[in-house]
Amino acid sequence: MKRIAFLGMPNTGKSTLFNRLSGSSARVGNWPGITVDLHAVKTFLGGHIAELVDLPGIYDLQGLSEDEKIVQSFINQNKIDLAIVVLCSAQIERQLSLLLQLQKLNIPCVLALNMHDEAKKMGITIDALLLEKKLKTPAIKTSAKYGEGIAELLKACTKVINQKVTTPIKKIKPLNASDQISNEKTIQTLIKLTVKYPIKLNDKNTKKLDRLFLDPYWGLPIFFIIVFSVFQFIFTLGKPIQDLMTQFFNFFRVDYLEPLFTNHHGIFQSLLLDGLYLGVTTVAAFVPIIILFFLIMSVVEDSGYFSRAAFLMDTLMEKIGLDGRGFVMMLMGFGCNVPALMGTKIMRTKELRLLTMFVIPFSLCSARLQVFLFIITALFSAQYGPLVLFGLYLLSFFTIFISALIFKHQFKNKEPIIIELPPYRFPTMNQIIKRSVLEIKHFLTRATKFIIIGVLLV
Amino acid sequence: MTTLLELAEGQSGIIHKLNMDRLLIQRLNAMGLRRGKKITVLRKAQFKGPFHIMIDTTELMIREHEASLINITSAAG
Repeated sequence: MKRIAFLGMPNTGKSTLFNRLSGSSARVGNWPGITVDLHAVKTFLGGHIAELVDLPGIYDLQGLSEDEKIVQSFINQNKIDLAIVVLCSAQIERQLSLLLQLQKLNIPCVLALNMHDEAKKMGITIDALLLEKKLKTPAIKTSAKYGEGIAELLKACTKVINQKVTTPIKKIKPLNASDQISNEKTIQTLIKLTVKYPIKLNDKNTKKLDRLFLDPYWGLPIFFIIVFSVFQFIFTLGKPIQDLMTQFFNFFRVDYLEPLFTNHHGIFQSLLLDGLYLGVTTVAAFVPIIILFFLIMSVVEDSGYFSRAAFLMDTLMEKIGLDGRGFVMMLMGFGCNVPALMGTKIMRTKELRLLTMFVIPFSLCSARLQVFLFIITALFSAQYGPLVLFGLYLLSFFTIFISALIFKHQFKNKEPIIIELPPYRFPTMNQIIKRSVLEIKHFLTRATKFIIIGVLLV
Repeated sequence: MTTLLELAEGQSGIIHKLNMDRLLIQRLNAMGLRRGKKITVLRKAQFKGPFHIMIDTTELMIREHEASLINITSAAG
């Protein structure tokens, strides 16, 4: 069996490319190092069974962050037959270093010049053929988002994987200063030869959007308006659909199920109809709202707006001893606490991680959102529902801030905080659908159990 | 010698030295911050908040403390 590792810096579309090649749907996100569990998949490539492994996004093979350690130990302990190095074409100048470091270890590589559509839009052209010759490594232009260049990439991988490897693969060693300088020189010459930059970069849209979203006065209100409109949207669109579903389930019960059970014992009927059926349909009636929720959240997540939210909130977060990344994890906690807690693994210091983990459970996760939605719809009119929900979220934020403030001296952070603000990216319909299907499955398996048990008890 | 801290919004400078330990330098290098690079401050958040900076095509958020560790010389233009 051949082992193929996906390597690349964060925000290069590595996980999306992995999904393209593996057919599965791993999460994609626009913050550093979202892939926490290693996704792996077995496939058939060039006459071999191949195992594709999606490694966490890292900036450097060296280094001491959790993600970098995962990658280091993976490379040192597993034989890698091929590394697919994914880079963002628009940022090729700073991303080639990862490839050079891998080549030094004698690991066979294929370079995916991903997001070439984005580079093209910015007016950056890369001579892939020349780059391939100079690097002695296949370089393929791809767009994981639009599925371009995938066949060519697979072809190149097949070719490399069928070549005999003669030089043994080395373990990762610390780079000394002269290695680093020679790497830099190599990159500078390569870039001069193969990449053409426009005189002025053509990313006006990101600049324009940033001027609006990061405005010193309007940025925060806009952020809250966005969060509020998401809830409003879910309510106004989801509620009628939910009512319709409930009506349908009721109709089905009265007309078809109840006649079936008239001859059975009372308790048995009550268990099946009032317990099981009501439980299942209660969950099912919530599905439209869940779908809407994750549809919108996935668009916001993948768009790059979360990093901007981190920027907006950093001033405040710094005062309470957290960082923007912790804020992103908190936001993620509003989707589901569990992945958010697991996501804190990427935080570079133990103190920051512990403090973030401590406050995440105060974020209202979507499973709790269900309960609140249920109670709110029962107690308040549709007019006040969104306001009440918004209030609950504000209260949740407030609790987080207060508890972080109280405990920040116990968990003091001394690490630098630098977060990338990627260009705004709008996911394709295909990406959104794949993502929501995954989220819905995830939710249904977890929530169904609890709601059924709850309803049975009632 | 000035640091990134002294640059105003919209101003640029050339990175002269990264005043920090080697591991951190390597990390910043990998993110595109290295000696000789032109660095532009796109915006600063209020209340001593983070800086929004740009190097080549990469945009980063960086805190005041880290900004004070980056020595720069003035850039023409």
